[in-house]
Amino acid sequence: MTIRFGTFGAEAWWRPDDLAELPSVGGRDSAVDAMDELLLGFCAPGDLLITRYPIHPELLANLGHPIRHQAVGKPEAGPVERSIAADDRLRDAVLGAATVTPFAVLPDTARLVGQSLPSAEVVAQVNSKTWSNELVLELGLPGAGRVVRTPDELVDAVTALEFRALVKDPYGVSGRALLEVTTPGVLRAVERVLRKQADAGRRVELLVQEKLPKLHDFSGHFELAPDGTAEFLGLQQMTNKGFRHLGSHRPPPALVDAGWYADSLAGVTEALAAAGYWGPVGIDAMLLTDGSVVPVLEINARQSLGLLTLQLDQRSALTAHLWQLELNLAPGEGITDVLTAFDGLLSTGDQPGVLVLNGSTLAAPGGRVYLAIFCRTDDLDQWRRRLVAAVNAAGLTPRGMTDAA
Amino acid sequence: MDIEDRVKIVLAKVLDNGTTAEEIGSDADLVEQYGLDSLQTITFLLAIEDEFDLELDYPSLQLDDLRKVSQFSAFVARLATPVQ
Repeated sequence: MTIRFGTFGAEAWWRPDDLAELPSVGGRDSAVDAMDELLLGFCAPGDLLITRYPIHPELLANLGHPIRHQAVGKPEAGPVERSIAADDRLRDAVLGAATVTPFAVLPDTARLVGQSLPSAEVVAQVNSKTWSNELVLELGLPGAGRVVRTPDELVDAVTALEFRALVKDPYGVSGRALLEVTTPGVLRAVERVLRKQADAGRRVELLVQEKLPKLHDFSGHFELAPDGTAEFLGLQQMTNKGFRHLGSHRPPPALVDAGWYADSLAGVTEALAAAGYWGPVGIDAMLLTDGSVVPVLEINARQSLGLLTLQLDQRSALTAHLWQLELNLAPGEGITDVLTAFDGLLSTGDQPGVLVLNGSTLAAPGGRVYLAIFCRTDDLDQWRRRLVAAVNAAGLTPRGMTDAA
Repeated sequence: MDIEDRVKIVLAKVLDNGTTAEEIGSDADLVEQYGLDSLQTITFLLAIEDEFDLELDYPSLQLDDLRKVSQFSAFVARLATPVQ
């Protein structure tokens, strides 16, 4: 039996507390706590999924095959692993399971599961953009950036790039992961915010990369065995809105030669294994307008939404496209209204249609629903329009759809 | 050009989806109508600092009451006006 659970926004738990932060607004997004229900899409028949909150029965029923599900009894603050550890029944189930597959290995995950996982320190290290940038330099791969450790170094690095610069946090916590610095005024503001923190004793560590002329983002996915063997699982082409990930799907064969890409990452998977990591790996990459490839932008040594889409894709003869829909909701509205809106359009992958992957805690004033759209790639825009029309017809208003599909 | 028009120009640049400054209404809600996410919001605020030569105090910024373009423009006007 396989048990699945996990903490999304894992980077926040890997990130050292003493690191200075890029300018940001708002606190932590509590919706991240409910994202573990997306793991539903990874579940095979008979798997046990443990989530922080109960899952709406229709989401379970629509999956198309039976799985077992448990929500933790008393959700505690912090990673879901803490709530599982505090629940005798669930903790015993995890300890007795043949296979435990967490979304990511955090210190709390390692404490709960023990020796069958790589150490949380190693996982945190290899997920850092500082580590991946050093590896890119060591392997002589294109696209390396510069790690800066003081506000003055940041100013030097951005100025040297003539303000075609992306400044990235080494752990890329959602919403405060990166900034594009395009003018001296923006650089002054970022420098001011960092200098204040540095003066208060916090450590500056940021990656500065040149903003390159991008054609497409894509990711390569591997499964690393404890003996260091790497299995290439496939590619995903990402759909972004600015720098925000909106979804992904299998790329057309002409986009990138998958075999060449997998071979060119042999040094990366060897380095991950040498560092002591095993498990799922997603490597973000970029195809430039001149046809060249930046093979390693960042390494996600954990499960990922790209991997989820890859697995959903493999269950269907159609192509699985992950997509997000942000909705404004009135008091009393929730996931039932979304499912009702999609009545007649739902699919488990056996026919063109949509599988709703999350949303049990969706409530006013609104939130994000992840959807797997199963269709021929040529029909994707038509399906997006159909889904937006369906939620509009049901009186639910999508957010920011002025550039929709 | 008044402050609100300049705010709309900055916003249109950040949205980068074909929306023009002229199409943005005074009562437009940055989140509900334009789906401004946290990354776009910080990019917008940094660009506002640059445009108006302001210094924003990010940790204490309360944006919930500034979601309409008109509200945000009034906030910028207050910061941009020297104290008498």
